[in-house]
Amino acid sequence: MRKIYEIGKELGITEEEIKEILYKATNDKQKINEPMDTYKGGRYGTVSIRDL
Amino acid sequence: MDYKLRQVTWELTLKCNLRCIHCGSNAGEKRRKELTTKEALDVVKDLADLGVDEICFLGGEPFLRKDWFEIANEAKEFGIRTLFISNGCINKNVISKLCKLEPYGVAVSIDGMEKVHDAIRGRSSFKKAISFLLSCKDNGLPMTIITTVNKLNLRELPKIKDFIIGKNIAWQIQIASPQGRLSRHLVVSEEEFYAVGLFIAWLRKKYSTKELPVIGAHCCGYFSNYLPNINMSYWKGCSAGINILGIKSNGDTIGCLSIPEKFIEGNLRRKGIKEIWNDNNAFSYNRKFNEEQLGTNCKGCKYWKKCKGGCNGLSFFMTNQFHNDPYCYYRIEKKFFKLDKI
Repeated sequence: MRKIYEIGKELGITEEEIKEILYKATNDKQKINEPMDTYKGGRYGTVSIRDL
Repeated sequence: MDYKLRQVTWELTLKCNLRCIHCGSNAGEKRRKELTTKEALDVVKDLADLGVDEICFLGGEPFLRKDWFEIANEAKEFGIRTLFISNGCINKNVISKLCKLEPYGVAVSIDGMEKVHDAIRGRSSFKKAISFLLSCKDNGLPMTIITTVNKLNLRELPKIKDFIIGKNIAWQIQIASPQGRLSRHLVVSEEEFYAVGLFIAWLRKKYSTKELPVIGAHCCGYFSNYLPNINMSYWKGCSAGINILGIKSNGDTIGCLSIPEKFIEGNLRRKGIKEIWNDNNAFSYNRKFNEEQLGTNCKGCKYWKKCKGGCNGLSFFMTNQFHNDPYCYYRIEKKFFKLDKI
């Protein structure tokens, strides 16, 4: 856990931001796996800007 | 059960002008007996007959194949969407042809800023790739940057983020698998893998999709108690042979280009693509998947029915079996997390 935390900080995420992402999910019972779009079927290879 | 083929990833040629140290295809020289133009055009027609929605052309470097435009244009004529993945170290003459094709997407691999990208992909490759990317963008093409993360470039992610912000370029982040030329010691650790997921989730929280359209590729998953979804769609298990198919440049056909060659289902010179796709015994690792096939990483997981053991490519190259992907947020959370001690 601590290691993930440290790598996260190296990637520019502050401690508060990490806590917010992890705790918020726990406390708010955030839905898992909300999809970004409705493309029916996995897209392998590359995503397109048009999907986003 | 009938399976509808939606998307094909097609290695147009294995020939490549770079020798990237993490290349999963070990690209360089072209394969023996790559498909001829006529054979490739026939394959496009068969794919159209099967009702394929889109083809993603890749390599090697796909634009090194002289007839790439002819093949892709045939797909367009049949109403199939086209996407391309390039290393960007290519003559800009291809851009005008790309514009005529009106592709759904064009991706250029960027694995770090100049020093790190060049260390991974070769001298001067960064400047060429960025120049190609921006020229494509200036010509109105829908552009994506793909970053394949290994231990050498993990910490480059924030710098790539700074470069992409506000440019209306999509960013796909994916994990390098220990296949082809990538040494196992360069594969990210479980903690690093989770941190990449955290990074993507953070970016999507901090920036709007318009500012920074970033996603994790299908290997960034699959379920999590803490991270929101960072993929493009719901993960329903590996799609190889379910709705996607890979074609190698010599006509070998396989559920996914990222699984080992021993899972090749047939060669298009000897067997038609419809015959391969509609064979009841093909792609059995996915079409006949059951709980018994789960490896120790996934056995007993409450998500096994939905997840089916994650990415079979990563699973196989990490553990020598399918349905056993160790790179799973949920598994890592169970292993490492004690949230009260954050």
